[in-house]
Amino acid sequence: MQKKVPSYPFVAHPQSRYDSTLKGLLILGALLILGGSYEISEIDISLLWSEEGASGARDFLFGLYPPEYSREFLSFVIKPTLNTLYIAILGTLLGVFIAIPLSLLATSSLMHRGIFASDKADTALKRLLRIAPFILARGLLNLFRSIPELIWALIFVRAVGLGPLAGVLALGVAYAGVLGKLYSEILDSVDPKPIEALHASGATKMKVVLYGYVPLALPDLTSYTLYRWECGIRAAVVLGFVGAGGIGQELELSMRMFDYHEVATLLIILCLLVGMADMISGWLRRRIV
Amino acid sequence: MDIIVNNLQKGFGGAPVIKDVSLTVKEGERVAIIGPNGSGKTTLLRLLNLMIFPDQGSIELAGKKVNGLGVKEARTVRRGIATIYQSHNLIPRFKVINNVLAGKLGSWPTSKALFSLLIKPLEEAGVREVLEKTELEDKIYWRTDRLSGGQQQRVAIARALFQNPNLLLADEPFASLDPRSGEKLIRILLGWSQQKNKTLIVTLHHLEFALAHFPRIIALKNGMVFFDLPTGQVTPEHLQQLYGDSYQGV
Repeated sequence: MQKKVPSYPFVAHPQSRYDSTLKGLLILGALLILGGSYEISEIDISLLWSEEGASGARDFLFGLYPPEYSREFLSFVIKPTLNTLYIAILGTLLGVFIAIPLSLLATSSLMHRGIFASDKADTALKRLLRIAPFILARGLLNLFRSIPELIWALIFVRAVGLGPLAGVLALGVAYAGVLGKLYSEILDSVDPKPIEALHASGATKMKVVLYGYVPLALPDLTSYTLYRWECGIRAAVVLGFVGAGGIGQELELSMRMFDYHEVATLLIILCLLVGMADMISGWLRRRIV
Repeated sequence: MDIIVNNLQKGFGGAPVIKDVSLTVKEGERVAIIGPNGSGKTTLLRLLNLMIFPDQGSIELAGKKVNGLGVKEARTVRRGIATIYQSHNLIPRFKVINNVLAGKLGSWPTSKALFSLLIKPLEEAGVREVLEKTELEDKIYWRTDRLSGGQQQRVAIARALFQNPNLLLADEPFASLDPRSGEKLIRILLGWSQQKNKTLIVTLHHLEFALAHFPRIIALKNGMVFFDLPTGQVTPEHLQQLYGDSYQGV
């Protein structure tokens, strides 16, 4: 059997007896963190069984039945339902459009690592110029991602007023952060060999992205985007609670009026929406992979 | 393309992989590079196609010094060099035609590349011509990952020929193929080089191939040129010394 020669410099990781010690330490550390967080978060499971907690939950649960199915209410919720769907679709789409350029800049194998960075003529300034957009893009994506979409929604409700537009913008910015990070990680993990082949034939970076990175990563890219869209439907509902439109807003109103029958109907609609999204994305995924 | 390499040295942090290599290859020459694993064959090819740059020494391609070139100039030089790899390095989900067209990416503007990819593949006649040489014309619209390993390597060769290079490099191109298919493919490469009077450099595992088909053999050992001879002058003793105990004769 001939041994394969690695064409890249590589570091061997021999199994050593230190591995098991390290593993033990890691497990111990994980247990400590788990125990610590249980203490600090003051979890008190018995509250669920207390008289107060139980009666509140009981009222809510039994109040749900039967769902409100009057023709009047059903025709009324069509518009908010469509609004939620639109917010999820447009919000995710906006997120994708913001995420694409940022994720390319945040992909290290396109910027400052690997074959594209091996070109000589490396001065300190050039190195800095190469890494600066990368750091900037990463920073921006982190900012978008660290602020939850609910907070973004509060910000945008103040900026553009109550309604679906605030929801779309909030979802778009927050999801740009998540998608951008995911995209850049997916792009960084594609097989480097076809990439090298394209680069070696004199193609520019943009063309290597089009003919290499994107087709190699396409199944992962679409599947994560579709998954995010599913999440977006649920998120769009939550955004409604702070005034960004859709069934979330109706849900909040019905809850505040203690009309649990309406709440039940709205929750059923939400389940149907998510189920439908699951079916559509499953079908699309099968077609693309 | 004339190639002049002088006192080349290249390492990746540890001991240099290429210690001291000098060689000259004339336009239209067909050269096989042999040598044991780890002798620096792949690294030498990656230096020649400007994927990496030497720590020391110089490379001249077609009379032009290419180490120290800027990003754009290096790209222009790369357009004239095609490389074939041991694993075909194609895009599995592309149709064969798009993988072959990728050979021209270097000379196509981005808009044309995009149009060809998304709307309609361009230059179909040219693609058919090279696929005819590699006997895959009937598979032009097949998805590449539906082809066998040998067929995919033929697509990779078609891509390299479609690039219409002045220098063709191949790194163990037949290592994962059975000898019969390898034989067939090597004839395609040799025929191309002879017909167009263009330089062909191939690293080879199979000594028989090297000795049977190439007029000149360069042997690398430990990052240095061990011998550089016309094939007729290579003796079993040479090979014995090159491969040591693992050599079992041809």
